[in-house]
Amino acid sequence: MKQKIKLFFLIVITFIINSCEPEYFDISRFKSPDNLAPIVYLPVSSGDYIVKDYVNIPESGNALVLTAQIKLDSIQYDLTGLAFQTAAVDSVFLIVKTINANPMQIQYAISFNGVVINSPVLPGGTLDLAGHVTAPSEKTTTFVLSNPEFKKLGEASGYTLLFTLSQPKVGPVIANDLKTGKISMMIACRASLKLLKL
Amino acid sequence: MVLLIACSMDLNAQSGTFYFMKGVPQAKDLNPAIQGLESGFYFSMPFISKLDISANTNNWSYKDLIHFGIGPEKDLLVWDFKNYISSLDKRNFIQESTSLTLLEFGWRKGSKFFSLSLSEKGSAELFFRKDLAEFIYNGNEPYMGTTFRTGNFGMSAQHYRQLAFTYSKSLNKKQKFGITGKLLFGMAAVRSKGINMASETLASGDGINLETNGTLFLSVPLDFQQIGDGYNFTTTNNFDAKKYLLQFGNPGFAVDLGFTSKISKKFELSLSIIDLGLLLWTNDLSTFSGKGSYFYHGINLNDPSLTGTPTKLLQPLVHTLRDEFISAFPPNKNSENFLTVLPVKLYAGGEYRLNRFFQVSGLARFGISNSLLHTSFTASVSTVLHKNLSLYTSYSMDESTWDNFGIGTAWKVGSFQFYAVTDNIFSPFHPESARNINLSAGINLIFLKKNRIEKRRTLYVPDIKTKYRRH
Repeated sequence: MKQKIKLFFLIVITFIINSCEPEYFDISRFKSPDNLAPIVYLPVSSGDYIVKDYVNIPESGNALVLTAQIKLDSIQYDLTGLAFQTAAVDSVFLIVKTINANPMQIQYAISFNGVVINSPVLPGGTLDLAGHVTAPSEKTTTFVLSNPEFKKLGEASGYTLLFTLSQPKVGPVIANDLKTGKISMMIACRASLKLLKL
Repeated sequence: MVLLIACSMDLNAQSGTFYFMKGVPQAKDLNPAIQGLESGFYFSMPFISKLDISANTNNWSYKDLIHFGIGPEKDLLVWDFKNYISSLDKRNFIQESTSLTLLEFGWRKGSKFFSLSLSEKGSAELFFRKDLAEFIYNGNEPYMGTTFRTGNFGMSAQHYRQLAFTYSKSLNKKQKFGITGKLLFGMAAVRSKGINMASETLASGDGINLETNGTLFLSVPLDFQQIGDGYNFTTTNNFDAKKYLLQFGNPGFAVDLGFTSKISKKFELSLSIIDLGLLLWTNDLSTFSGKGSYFYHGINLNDPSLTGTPTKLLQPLVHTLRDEFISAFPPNKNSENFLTVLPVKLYAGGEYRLNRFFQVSGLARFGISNSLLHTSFTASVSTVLHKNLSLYTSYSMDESTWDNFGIGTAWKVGSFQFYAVTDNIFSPFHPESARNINLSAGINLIFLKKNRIEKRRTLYVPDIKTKYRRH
């Protein structure tokens, strides 16, 4: 009976020890957990730009503006003192929502550290029969910044915003509407963020 | 002001299989009516009287998160967050508890049993909802246009010392009653209360609404000093090992009640309630609380404070955002006494003696944790393998886990009694797949009265001569 009991325990212990899998806790085998990368959406900035603040329009009142293209003064933003965490993202989507309460079409360019992002042409606001803006137009454009481009943004001391206005396809451009016309721009970013690289 | 905070740990620290090991005096820890000693007295080896270790989750294991990859990654341990989240329940936790009895002794006098023990108990728990894990994994972008709520999440940990006195008495030939009074001395604790967060990323993408709420209570030998109004704190370490180990502040009290009743010659019912008590934390207190809401919409480029011509400096605006955020969620620090309630457990058991050598038993265990009722059921068969060796085997259904095969053994060598018991024999050897691990083990010295030896019943004390005379 004693032998049977000893044999029983020997079999159980042998089975248990041989079925251990210590390699599951071998630190040297761990792969970096880069797959914990939630998609984060974050508003970045918002701003309104009144045309007359950035360019001199000689016409006034209800006079028509016939200039084919008008470039606004460039707007420069200084990023000194701000740090970007670029190691945790591979690429970033810049989502730019533009609301144009201006009778002219607009195009904008964002440039930094040798990178230039050009928008498509965005339509002007809806005009009534008299040529006044009754409703703004709204468009959201998504730009992809690759990892090298995002790193350049991180290294940049600032960025420049440049608006170019052009005649609408249909309708006149009344000077007063143009001068007071507001361009609103909201910039947000969306990126897959590698949490453990933050 | 004293706050009452429910404790949510320690539910599975004691093995259900242990409940049936009546030949071991420490079974009284699960039902003080179980006397564990037919006669005489016992004392346990100092500092290794009894060691209880347990760790468990609600229904997920290490392997759900970390496992070997496939193909070129077959030799690498990969993090599988998607699989881990799919294995979670709505509410999740991971608990660990340890109890070390430093000293214990007891004696039997007629129908009465007395015992005194000194133990150190520690436990820790982390709890969270599946929603929070999904939010961390997916980010806020998939939830745009909806309000996401994390539900309560947090952690708790405590270390306390327990001085317990057990008194048990046979009321008549069939019924026994037992009570254990426990004096508790809190050593250190950390508790969260009501920590939760809500986030709404507007469908338009123009902003994010944030709300947070919660409190963290600490009773630890650390001094926190806030610098300014922000989240900067300096910490002064006031820990002194001797002072810590010799402290007897943070008082508490608990009681265990137990009852057994022989319904018939072969059938017995038992009922007990364990750890009905609480601790009041009054020393080394730090309380951090916060409640607030904030609408984040990024930098306002039309802010009048945006300075510089023609170049506009953005750093001040970013600092303004930061200051607004801190103002919305101010880290309030003060010192508040707080109460923690021990995790109450209810045991209901039944035992049927098949014959002199085999007994079958069933046990239902109930506990409350984070407003949830936790249940486990254990079925056991116990037998005597040898005159000095008894064996208890069990099967338990614990929460959502159905693979708990337990074993307990009590082995007597002279006056020494060695015992060890676990509800899941495979877990310690397969921790990567384990969801419940518990182990209780210890050493007693038992000295029985000589004129009682021949009258022992077989299953209750593993010193059987009758069976082996027949061989």
